[in-house]
Amino acid sequence: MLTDDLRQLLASYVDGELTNRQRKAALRLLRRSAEARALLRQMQEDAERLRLMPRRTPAPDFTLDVLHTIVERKLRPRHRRPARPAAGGIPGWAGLAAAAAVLLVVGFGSYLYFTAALPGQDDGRAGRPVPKKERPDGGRQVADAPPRDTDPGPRGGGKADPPERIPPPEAVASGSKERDRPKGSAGQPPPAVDAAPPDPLPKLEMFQPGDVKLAAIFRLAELDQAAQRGRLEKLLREDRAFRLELPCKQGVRAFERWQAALKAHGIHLIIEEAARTRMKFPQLRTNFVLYVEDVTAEELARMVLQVAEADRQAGAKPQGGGQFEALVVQGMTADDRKELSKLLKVDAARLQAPPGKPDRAKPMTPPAGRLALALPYNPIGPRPGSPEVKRFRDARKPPRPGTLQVLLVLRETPG
Amino acid sequence: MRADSYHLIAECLDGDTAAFGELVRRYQDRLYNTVYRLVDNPEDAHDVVQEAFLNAYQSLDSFKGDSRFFTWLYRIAVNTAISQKRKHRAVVSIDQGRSGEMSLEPPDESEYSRPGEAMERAEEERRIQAALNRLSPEHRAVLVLKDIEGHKYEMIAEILGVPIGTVRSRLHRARAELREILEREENL
Repeated sequence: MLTDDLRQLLASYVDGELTNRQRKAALRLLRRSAEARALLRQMQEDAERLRLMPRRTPAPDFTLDVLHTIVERKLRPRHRRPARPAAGGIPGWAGLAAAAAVLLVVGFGSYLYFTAALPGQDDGRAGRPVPKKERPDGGRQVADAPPRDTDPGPRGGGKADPPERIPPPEAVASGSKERDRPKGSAGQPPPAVDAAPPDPLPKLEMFQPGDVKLAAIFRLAELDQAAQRGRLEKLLREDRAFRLELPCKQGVRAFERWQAALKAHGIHLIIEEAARTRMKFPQLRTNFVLYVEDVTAEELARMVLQVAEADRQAGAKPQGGGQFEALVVQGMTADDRKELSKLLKVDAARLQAPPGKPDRAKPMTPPAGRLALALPYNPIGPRPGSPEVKRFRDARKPPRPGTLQVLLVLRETPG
Repeated sequence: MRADSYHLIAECLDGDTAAFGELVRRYQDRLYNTVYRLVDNPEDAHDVVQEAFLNAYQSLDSFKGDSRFFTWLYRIAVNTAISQKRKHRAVVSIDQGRSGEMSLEPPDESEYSRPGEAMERAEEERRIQAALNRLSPEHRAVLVLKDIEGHKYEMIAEILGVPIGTVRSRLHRARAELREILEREENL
C-alpha cells in the first residue's frame, strides 16, 4: 500500500517538478512497485484527459466590451501617474484646474469674437468658438483674410450690407497663451484604440487653430449664397495647401458628411481602424483629421458646398442634426505639416504642396484611384503601424500641378 | 515580462485606454479558458474575466513589476472565480462527504451536447467537466492551472498565493478526488 508521501511523489513525477534526488527516488519506487506503476499510469491518463479538453475562447468582441465598460462606468486607474511630476509641491489637480480655466477663457473669448465677427446672429448661435491662440505669424500662406461679406440679415431675407473686414479679435481674453503642444506619453501621438476611450483631452490637441484674424470664416448656412460661394472659391485658388477647421457638435456625424462628399467626388476615404472603431460610439467625443491631396480648388469648394447642404438638410429635420456652424479656412502651416507627418509617419518634406499652377484653359480630369485618409487624433490616435496609414502612404502618387493639399480638422466642441 | 507590456501599462497609467485594450487582447483567451473551467458556464466566465480586467485596470498602479503582469492578472481572475464558486457552491467535497451525505451539482447537459461535435469528444468533455465541478474550488483551481493550463508549481503558488508545498499536496488530493469521481461515474 503506497503512503500519501509516495503518492505525492508520483504526482510530482507526472508534473515533471522533481529535483534530481526526488526523481531518482521516484524511479526506484516505480522499478520495485507494480502498484506505483499502475497509479502513475492512471495519473498520467487523467492528466492527459484534462489536457485534451477543448479550449474555450471568449466572444470576438470581448475586448471591445471591456473597453466599453471602462467608459460606461467611468473607470480610471487609481492613483494615476501624473503626466508630469508636480513641481514645488503644486498638487496635480491644480494643473487641471488651471488648464480648465485657460480653456474657459479662450472659449469665451472665441465666443465673443464670433458673435462680433458674425453679425446678424439674432439667436446668439454664433459660430462655435474656435479655440484661439496667438502664434507667430511664421509660415502663413494665406496673406490676408479677404473682406468678409456681412450677414445680409436673418435667414431668409434682408438687404446685403457692403462687405466689411473682419474686426480684430479684441474680445479675445488678453493673455491667451499658446496651448501646450500635445504630447503622448513619449512625445508621440497616442496609439490608436479599438473603442471607448475618454473624451478629447486638452493635452492631446493637435493642429492648433491659428490666429483667427488671418483666417477666413464662413457660415456654412450661407454658402448657398452666390457671394459666399464665390468668396470661398476665390480663396481656395489663392494657395496650394489649406487647413479647414470645422468645429462640430459630434465628430462622428460630421465625419460622415465629409465621407459622403469625398465619395461623391471619386475620392476613396481610407478610414484608419481606430477611427472606424470610434465611429461605432458616436456618443464618445472624438476629434478627427482628414487628409486629402490632388484636389482642385473647384472640387474642394463643391465638396464644402455638398457638406453644407447635407448639414442644412439634417438641421432642418425636427430632431435636428446639423453639425456645423462655421468653416474656418487657413493656409496649412509648417507646424501643421509637422503634426501631419507625425501621424502619417512621413517626412514633413514629403508633404509639400505640389508646385505649378493649374492650366485654367484645360479642365483637369480627376484621376482615378484618389485616396484620402481619416484618422482620429484626440483622445486617441492611429494605431502604431496602422496598415491603413501605410496603405495611404504607399498609394500616394505625385499630385497634379496646381492641385491642393487639404487638412480637414473636425473638432468637437462641448455643449 | 515583455518590455512592451511595461510600456503598455505605463501608457494606461497615463490615461491611454487603447493600450489597455492591447493588454486585454493579449491575455483574454488564456484567462477565459481557465476561468471557464473554474466556473463552468460562458456567461459567468465572461463576467469574471471582464471583472478581472476591470479590477486590474483600476489597480494598475499597484502592479509593482515584481511578477509577470500575466501572473498578476491571473491571480485576480482566479481569485474572483474561486470566490464566486464558493458563494454558489452546492458541492460537498468527497473529504467532507465521507459520512455518506453528498450533494452533487448536476452537470449542465445542454452545454456539452453541441451539434456537429464528435459525440465522443463532447461526452468526454462533459464527463471531465462534471467531475471537475464536484471538486472544491481550491482543488479545481490547482488542477485547471496545472493539467489544463500547464503552469509550473511556482507560478500556481504565485497565482493562488500559497506555498509550493501546498500546491503539491492540493494537486495530489485533487487528482485522487477526481479519480474517485470518474471511477464512480464510469461504474454507473
